[in-house]
Amino acid sequence: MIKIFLVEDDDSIREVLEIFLRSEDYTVHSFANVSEFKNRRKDELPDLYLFDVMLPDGSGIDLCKEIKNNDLNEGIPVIIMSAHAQLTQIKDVCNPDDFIAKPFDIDQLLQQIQKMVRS
Amino acid sequence: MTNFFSSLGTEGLLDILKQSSDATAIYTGLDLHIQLANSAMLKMWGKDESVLGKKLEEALPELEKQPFTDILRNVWRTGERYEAHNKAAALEIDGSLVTSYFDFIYQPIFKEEKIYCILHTATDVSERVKALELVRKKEENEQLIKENLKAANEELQTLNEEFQATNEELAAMNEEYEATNEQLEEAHQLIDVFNQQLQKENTDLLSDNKGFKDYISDLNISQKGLEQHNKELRELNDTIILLNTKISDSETSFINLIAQAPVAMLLVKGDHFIITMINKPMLELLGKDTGIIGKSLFDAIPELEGQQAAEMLVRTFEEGVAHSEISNPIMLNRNGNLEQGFFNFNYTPFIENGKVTGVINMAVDVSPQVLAIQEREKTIAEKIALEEILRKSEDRLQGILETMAEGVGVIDATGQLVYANPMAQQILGLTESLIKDRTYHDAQWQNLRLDGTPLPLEEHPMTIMMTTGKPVHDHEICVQPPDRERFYISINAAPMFDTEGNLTGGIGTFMDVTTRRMITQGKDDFISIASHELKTPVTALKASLQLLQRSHEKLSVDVRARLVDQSIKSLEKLSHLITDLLDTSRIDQGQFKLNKQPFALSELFDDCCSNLIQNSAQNIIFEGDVTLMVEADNQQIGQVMTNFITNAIKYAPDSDEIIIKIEKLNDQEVKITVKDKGPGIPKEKLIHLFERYYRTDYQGQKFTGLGLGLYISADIIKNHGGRIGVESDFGNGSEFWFTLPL
Repeated sequence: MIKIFLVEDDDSIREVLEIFLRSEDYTVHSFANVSEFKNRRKDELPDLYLFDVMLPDGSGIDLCKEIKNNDLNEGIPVIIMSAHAQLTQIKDVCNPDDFIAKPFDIDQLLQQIQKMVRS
Repeated sequence: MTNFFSSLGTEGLLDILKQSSDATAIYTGLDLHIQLANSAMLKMWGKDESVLGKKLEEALPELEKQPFTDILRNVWRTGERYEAHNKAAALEIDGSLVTSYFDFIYQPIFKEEKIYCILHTATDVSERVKALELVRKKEENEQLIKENLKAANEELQTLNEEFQATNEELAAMNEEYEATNEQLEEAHQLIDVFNQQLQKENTDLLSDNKGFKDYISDLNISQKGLEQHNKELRELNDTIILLNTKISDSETSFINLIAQAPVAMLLVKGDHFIITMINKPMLELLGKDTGIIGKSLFDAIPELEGQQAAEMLVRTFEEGVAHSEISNPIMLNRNGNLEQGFFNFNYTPFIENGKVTGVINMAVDVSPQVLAIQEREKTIAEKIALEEILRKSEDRLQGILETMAEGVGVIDATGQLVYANPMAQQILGLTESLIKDRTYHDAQWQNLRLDGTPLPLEEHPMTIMMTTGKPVHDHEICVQPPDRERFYISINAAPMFDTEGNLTGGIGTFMDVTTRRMITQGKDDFISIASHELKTPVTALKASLQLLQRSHEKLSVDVRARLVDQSIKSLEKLSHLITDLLDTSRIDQGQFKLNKQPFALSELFDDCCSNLIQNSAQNIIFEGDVTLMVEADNQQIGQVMTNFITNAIKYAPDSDEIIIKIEKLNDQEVKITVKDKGPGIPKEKLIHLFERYYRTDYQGQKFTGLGLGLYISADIIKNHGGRIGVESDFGNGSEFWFTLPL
């Protein structure tokens, strides 16, 4: 089972993504904010990180930077999701593996996730 | 007779006509059909019997352009007979056009008063016409010869008359010559007589000559005696002259003095001021010649009368005291023009035998000097006036600059600031002397781009203006002073040139646009936030619906129900956001309508807050008289309450209780306060809370929502005639309150 760590503050989006990804046979661990994510079990590593940008106590970009700078996470792809207009500007800041612009198509989202975890 | 013709019958009559040696033809109709043409007529036409039955114009095409057919038609129409003599007609005979002359008649024949046919009879009279023509030509020739003869005769007559006249003239001349000859003869005889008389007189003179010579020698003797007397007389005369010269020596030197003086001099004598002596410079000065000598001064120069110079002259004469005047203006008529001149005058009484007998006047023309002085004085006066205008203009400019709402700074060619008006000093927060210490690009300014990065020199609007030499308008930059918050200025820069077109510096006018920039920034931020906030529920909604559509069967009933619930929740969120946006839009357009009704405050709290109370972890406590009645828009006030309470829940999540207090301030006003025990709000942010687009980042956290709630609330309360506000002690919770009129 492929494991995804999801950080998303909006309850509705989080719930829908959990239902969707689980229905596609992924294991999903979701977190509502930065502090919840930071309190996760550190011995467990996912196959993919999926971060929202605007979080009530921080930013998905900072999380992305942290993950990318941590050797333990080497090779684990990060996808950034945001409703922000200037999504591509994030690339310069944290260099994620892919972007998803909100609102997204779930088929598109699935394809992007599959591409990431396959490679 | 009638019987005879009727017995002949038509054929018989026709035969007669055909055989007639007179050319005969019969035509009918306007088409002029040839019904009959006898052999004489056919011969005349040069045609055969084939023409019978044809139209005349077809049979004789050459008649076109000749008058006959028209005449025939006219006869047909009018029924009037036409007769002509010696008429020329061109007919084609054996292939060539032959002109012959005819006498002919077109005779209309009537039957029962209606034209029936035209009878054409013709006789060739060419021979007769030719004979007549010959006679006519002969007569013409004779006439010509007669006229020529007559003319020749007249010429001869004229010549004859001319000869006659010449003859008469010659005869007259002859007579004149003869008379002259006779006169010459007479003169000749007279000359002879004179000659004889002259010869005789000559002889007489010769004899007289001898007598005269004797007389002359006598005279010579007496002359010598006279010469002796004369010598004695001359010696006496010389002595007298010597004596005379000595006497008049002094007068001569005076005359010489006047004559040779380089200044203009004049001596007038007597109470009529007779010009007695005048030198050349004075004559030139007055524009007169020596003709004025001996005349009264005021007769010679009448314009002097009444002028100051003349009065002085008279006074000198009367008082016997010298007068002088410098740069005296005087009007003189020179060359017919009355001109003004300026002179230094000197009047000296002329004294003879102890009595004033006249006045000596000396004058020096100082007009050029006086005019030059006057010109200079005028220039100075003009300069003073100009300076006054300039000073006033400068004062005005200074006044404008000092009261201007815009900052004005002037730089020289090096970029050094040379002037800053009071507003510039106020905006920049520096004294004029501090500003003048800097160039516009001094590093101390800490100029920034709008995005906060340092402003490179080449992007500074003053640099752009100074390098391009062109004005720059509304160029916005940010300034970061060391001791206060950064501010934004909009700069207009204009270059200054000297008369040669060299750049000598520039003027920068600027104003503080921080507020404008903040509003723009707030607006941009708001749009960014609004779009983000709108996209969030749309994302959930879209994903839920796509998931339901995509894998409906795969999902359990429970999960499907959750997705539907999520969709509804997201839609409600969207709907709230849109309502908020519409509310602000209504506020902007002044369309926020009130629907006032009396209600008890408890009603309000039940409507709006029961749901919040149920869903909140915090304890919501009411204090005061909830039964108090107000007249207001229940729904809108409910919106304000909801906003206050949700803010308290959102921003003070750790506050265990939220207190809602009702206070009747007086008979007119009730105050409702929502108090939390959260972290409070820093003072500098309090004033902005009710502004549009303002959303505080609360302890570095970001919260969802458009940040429009307090702005809308403030507008609702304002519309109700109430007041709204907030009190907060940082670290000790916040109190949001509003009042309503009772």
